[in-house]
Amino acid sequence: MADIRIRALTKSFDGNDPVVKDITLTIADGEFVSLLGPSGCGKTTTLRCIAGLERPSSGEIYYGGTLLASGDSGAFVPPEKRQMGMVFQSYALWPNLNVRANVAYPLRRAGLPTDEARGRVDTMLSLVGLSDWAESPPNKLSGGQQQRVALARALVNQPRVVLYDEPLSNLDALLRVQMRREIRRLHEQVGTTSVYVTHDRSEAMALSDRIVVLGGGVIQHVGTPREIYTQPANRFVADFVGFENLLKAEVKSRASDHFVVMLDPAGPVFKVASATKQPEGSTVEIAVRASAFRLAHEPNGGTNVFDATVDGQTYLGEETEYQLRAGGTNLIVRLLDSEIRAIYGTRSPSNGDVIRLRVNPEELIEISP
Amino acid sequence: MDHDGEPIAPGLAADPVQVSITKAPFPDERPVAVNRTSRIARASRIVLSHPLSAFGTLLLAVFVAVLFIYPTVMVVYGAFRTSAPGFPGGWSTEAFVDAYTSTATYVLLLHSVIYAVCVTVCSMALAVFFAWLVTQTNIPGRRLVTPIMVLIVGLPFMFFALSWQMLGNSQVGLLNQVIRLIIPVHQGPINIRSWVGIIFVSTLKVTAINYMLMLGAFRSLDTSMREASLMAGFGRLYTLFRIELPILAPLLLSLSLLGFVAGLESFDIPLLLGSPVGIQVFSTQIYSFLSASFPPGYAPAAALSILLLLIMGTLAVFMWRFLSRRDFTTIGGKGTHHDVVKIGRWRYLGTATIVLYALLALAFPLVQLVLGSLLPTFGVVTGHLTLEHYREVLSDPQVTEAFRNTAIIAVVGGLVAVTFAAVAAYLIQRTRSRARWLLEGATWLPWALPGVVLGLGMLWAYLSVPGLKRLYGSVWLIMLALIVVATPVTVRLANAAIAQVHAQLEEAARVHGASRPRAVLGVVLRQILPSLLAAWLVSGVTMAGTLSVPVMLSGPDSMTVPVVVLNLMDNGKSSQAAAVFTLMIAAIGLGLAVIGLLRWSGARVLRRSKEPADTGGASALPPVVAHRADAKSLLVSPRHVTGQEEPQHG
Repeated sequence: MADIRIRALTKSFDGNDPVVKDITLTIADGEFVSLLGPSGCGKTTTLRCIAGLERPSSGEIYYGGTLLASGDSGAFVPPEKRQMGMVFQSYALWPNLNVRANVAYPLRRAGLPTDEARGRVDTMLSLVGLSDWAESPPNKLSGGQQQRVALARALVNQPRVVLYDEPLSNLDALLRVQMRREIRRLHEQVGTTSVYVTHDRSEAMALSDRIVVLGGGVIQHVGTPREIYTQPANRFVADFVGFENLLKAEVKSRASDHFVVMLDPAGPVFKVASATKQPEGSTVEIAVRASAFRLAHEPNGGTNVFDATVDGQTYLGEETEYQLRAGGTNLIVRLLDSEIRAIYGTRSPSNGDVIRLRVNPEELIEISP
Repeated sequence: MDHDGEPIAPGLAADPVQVSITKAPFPDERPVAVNRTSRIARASRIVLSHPLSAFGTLLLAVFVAVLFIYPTVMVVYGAFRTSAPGFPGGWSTEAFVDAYTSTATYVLLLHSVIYAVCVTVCSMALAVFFAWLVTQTNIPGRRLVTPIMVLIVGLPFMFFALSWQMLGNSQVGLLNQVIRLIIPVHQGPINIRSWVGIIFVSTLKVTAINYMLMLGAFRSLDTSMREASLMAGFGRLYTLFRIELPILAPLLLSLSLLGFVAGLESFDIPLLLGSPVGIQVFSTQIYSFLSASFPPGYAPAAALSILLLLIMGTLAVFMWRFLSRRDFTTIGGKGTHHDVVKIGRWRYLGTATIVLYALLALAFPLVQLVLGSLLPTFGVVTGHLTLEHYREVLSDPQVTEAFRNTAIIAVVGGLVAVTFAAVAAYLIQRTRSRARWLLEGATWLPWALPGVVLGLGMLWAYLSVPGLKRLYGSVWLIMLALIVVATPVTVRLANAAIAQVHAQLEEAARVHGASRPRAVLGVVLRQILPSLLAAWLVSGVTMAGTLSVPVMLSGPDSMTVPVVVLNLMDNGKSSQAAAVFTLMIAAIGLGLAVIGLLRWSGARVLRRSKEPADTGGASALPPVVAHRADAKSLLVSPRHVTGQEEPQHG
């Protein structure tokens, strides 16, 4: 089993506070795992420890049963002996070599016959669509092309593990989407284990089998993209994966499969479709996405139907974002433009108007602090 | 767009000091050149709209013509005159024909070339080795290397010549005396008065210069270049030779070329060490035509100078073109310095090399010089030390006069040189591309003008014009020539400083209502002032320590310290020479300390005065965000604004 096992990894620089604290994680063979978090959360450091570009201060890293690095015993396999591929944020293409030589470089080590090496480089270059650029120097290429060369170079030697250090952060939005499809395609085609560092949650969602959310150097949540997106483990994760509304609420009643909260004395009462451990009368935190709300047709009084006053609005094209006030609670709500037109026609709500909204109990999530 | 394809941003062109050309990875698909072009175009728009730049360019042209071109032409003129400068005489091709039909000339050429090549190769190899040790390994003592190198760069060539001719004297040299305590030989074993000796001493000094010029590039070399190679499965050493050195190759080659040119001009060390035993290079031979024959052979000296000028001219053109083509723009980017090589048992070998170099290039020469000045009889080491030699030289009016002259040259000349350099560098950077190459090239010219030839040219140039004859023998003529000598370096330093102030800072000031002079003085000058102060120091020390120019131009009342020291040496007064030079080095040290103090307090004042300007909003100055280079980073390599390092712990 060629899995990567990280046990109690801690890394600090020059005796400062650790940037990575006690991370334990297993990455299965062939899995695509993203390390997701804001800058300074330790994700790149973790990746560089796996690569061997940093030595752990304590803890161990194993690859398929082989000890790669141990902070305690000092055992250390240098990066050049780990046979991994890596894509750097700055691409790190060598300007003194042309595109072909850049891609071919890792193959020298493998000692392949020249013909076979050449064939592999050609295959790789056509895989990333750069066959016509093989003889160009890398700095004549655009950013997206350079990144594809870096990708080809990382994959050409068919490494069992490929590490990605924010490879798309220097590209513009359209190209990013295109490139991430390419990365996922290559991952499946070449059949590697991939570890991908990013601060872009949609990138992590689109690419990964599993996401590891890091914050303050510790693991906040490990799960599939859907789990992370719908059931964030805590406030940090909820905030980071984009829950716009994090609301304090009081538990009014509880049952085995749901509970009811009141946002504030004058505010709406919501049914939440999960059980809570908190007693009645205690305060919990509820997370809900701005996009979870719908305009309501039913008369007031239905489950999770409430009125709110428009405080402000931002037109975003396909949707409109409203800043609302329901009782004493401020809410951010995003509604599809088509939905608004279906109900209000051309006379869309303006500031001061009251609109009626509905939210499904399943969309409301209790968050542990 | 009037951009003609040069791949390099303004001010980054022929510039060995500023080696940290950076390229932030581009956030989009645009090819690199488009952005550069627009920047150049923007810069040219500012300047072309203003007559100041036309005036400045004209001023620069006059300066170049009078100080560089005119003396050069007069050297050629002098080769065909039968008389000394300023005296009536006839035309003759005799000296010219003699010089170019004699095999001695070509032997001399060969020797000079061999010497320059040896020094360049050895010093480059050593400098690369030290730069690698310092930036990429964990050997003990690596942090001391740069300060040592700064000191060695600051010490004049003559210091090494003087102290090593004492240290390595085959009879009484201190080093030989010590070695002879262990190995029983009568003479030697070191004879510094040999080709090997001259090459060795030159290498000691030139290594430090090369090191300082390449350190910045080594530092800011994108570490992911190295890491990518490691990830591809190659070790550190292979990576160094296959990836890192090739990336640095354009820089290393241009430094080698610069070093070769400087080596062909080299004067102080061959003169003091080689000439007494008949070892001559170009510069010393030209000098000896004038000093060692009577009447002085002005025409043969000039004829020989022409050959040197031709070679230099060719090299200069080559160098200029080569430097401006350099387009490996990957130096820079995120740098992490955590991953130093742990080279294990080799580390102490590295440390030993550093210690050995520090001893040979700095400690031994200093000890020898000071000891030599204190011992009653030169070469006889006793426990008895005396200040007698200091008393003697300080009571000599010629010596005190020389100190006064040297101080004037260093302070006033340095100031003029830096002022000129700042104006030139400003024009170079804020002007349209085509004129920029001319300006840039003009400021390189003196690099190809050996000090001795420049001195000779100045003699012909100013003694031939009746009104200017009075300048001869005055300290002002020497200062003028030394300003020319210092120009290539000072312009590079000023260039590097101005490159750090983005044109947009100036534009912002103007948009917010500052007049152009106010924008330049308030924004640009204020930002670069500390760097200019450092440049003043560098050029002052260079001018004070140069021997080649004053030795040609000094009259009895206008001697500088190096000339006095040379005279003392020629008269066999080694102890007195040592005393004078020790005093000069002490003075340089004092100057350094004063400037350091000024800079330190100046920076504090600047910082304090900046705060209200930023917060009060009453001033037209925009918040200033450019990075101020300090003296050290300036010498090494200023980081371009985009190349700032960020700690990278994702």
